[in-house]
Amino acid sequence: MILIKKLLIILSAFILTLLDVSFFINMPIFGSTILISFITLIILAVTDKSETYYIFAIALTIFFSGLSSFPIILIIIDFLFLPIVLNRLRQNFFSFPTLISSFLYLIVTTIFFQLSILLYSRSFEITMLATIVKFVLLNSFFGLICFGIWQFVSRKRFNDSRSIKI
Amino acid sequence: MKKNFFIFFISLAFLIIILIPGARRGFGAFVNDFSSPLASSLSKISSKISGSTSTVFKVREISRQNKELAEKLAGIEVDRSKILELEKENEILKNELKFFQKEKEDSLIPARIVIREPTTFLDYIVVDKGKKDGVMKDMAVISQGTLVGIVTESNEDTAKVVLVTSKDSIVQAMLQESRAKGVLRGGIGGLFLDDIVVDTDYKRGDYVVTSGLGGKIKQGILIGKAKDTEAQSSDLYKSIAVEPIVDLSKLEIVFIEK
Repeated sequence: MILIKKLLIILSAFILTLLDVSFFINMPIFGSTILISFITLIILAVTDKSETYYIFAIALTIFFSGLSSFPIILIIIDFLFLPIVLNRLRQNFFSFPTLISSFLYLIVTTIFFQLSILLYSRSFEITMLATIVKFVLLNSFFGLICFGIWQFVSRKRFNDSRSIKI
Repeated sequence: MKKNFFIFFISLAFLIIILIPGARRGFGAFVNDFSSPLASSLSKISSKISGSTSTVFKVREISRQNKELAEKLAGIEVDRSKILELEKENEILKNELKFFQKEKEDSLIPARIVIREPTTFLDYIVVDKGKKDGVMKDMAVISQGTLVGIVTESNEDTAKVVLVTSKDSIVQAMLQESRAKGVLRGGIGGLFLDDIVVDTDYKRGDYVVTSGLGGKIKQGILIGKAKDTEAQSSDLYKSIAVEPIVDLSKLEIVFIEK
């Protein structure tokens, strides 16, 4: 992979983290916010066959630790270990994700994300269940849309390259 | 070879930055200062979009609130005249005793929120004023006359503020009526005034204000109202749930008190 591509990945990690903390945070939907960096990371982790996703994961971990006060241990677990484990599981045991399976991946990972926060804060009340459900559904649906767009763009590029006559 | 070196370099940078607390703080200060102009623009755009879309969806709610507020206004006018009377009397007394009264406006630094913690339980914000604007650590952050947070870090161009609802927030506070002193703590379960003596009487809606203990924040800044919910933390003390006056999720501009 050429250097410029790696730098673009790092830059996109920075921009997505900034979007999370400055843009989407001010636009709550039904009381929850979109975590675009995490969604992108998960989609990359389940679809990527090369090293793109873990450069993105490392960059995201670094920028998240600078732009937020999220505990280090949670950043490492949710933004580094989780996508690596997900990628390995997907490559070894599951086929390339479809729209439905990507939705399931997103649901599981967003639930894991919320549970890790709850376990770290060592507090849970039944009223938080609604917050967790809203976060999981909002980010899973948004991730599904992003995945769908990515699939559409990928197929279009593939079809266009096939149609080139030499 | 080049590829492995690049990955090794990134991994090493990552370990150094996130595992050493001082390095993380320094890196955070640099990133916050560097990204503040872009973050500020993104924040303004998203606030505008959020404001317009929420207005469309909440027309009925706004109409109901308007009616309620109009009714309240009548009562407030009466209270206002009483307050004016008391202020006048206070001014006369202070002049008589030759007290020096600072202008409130000179002691407040207006700041815009540019970055907000994406997870609600931490509740930190970054504002676009820092050391060069006179912002220092432990200064009180106010919105609409109520305490919303405390400055925890002051960088050159930005400052990090822990909101009162954060699990890391601890504010010395008291019930205004009974003067019972306690510690206001935030967290994922809400805001609680802890360490209140168990036989303290209070009623729902009693104001919770800063107590001034510790010397960092002055006494009497409004924080919230006591709710019905309470929990007994031991034989001697109880915790009272507190509702913030200001909706902290909708903050855009705050004032830092010098």
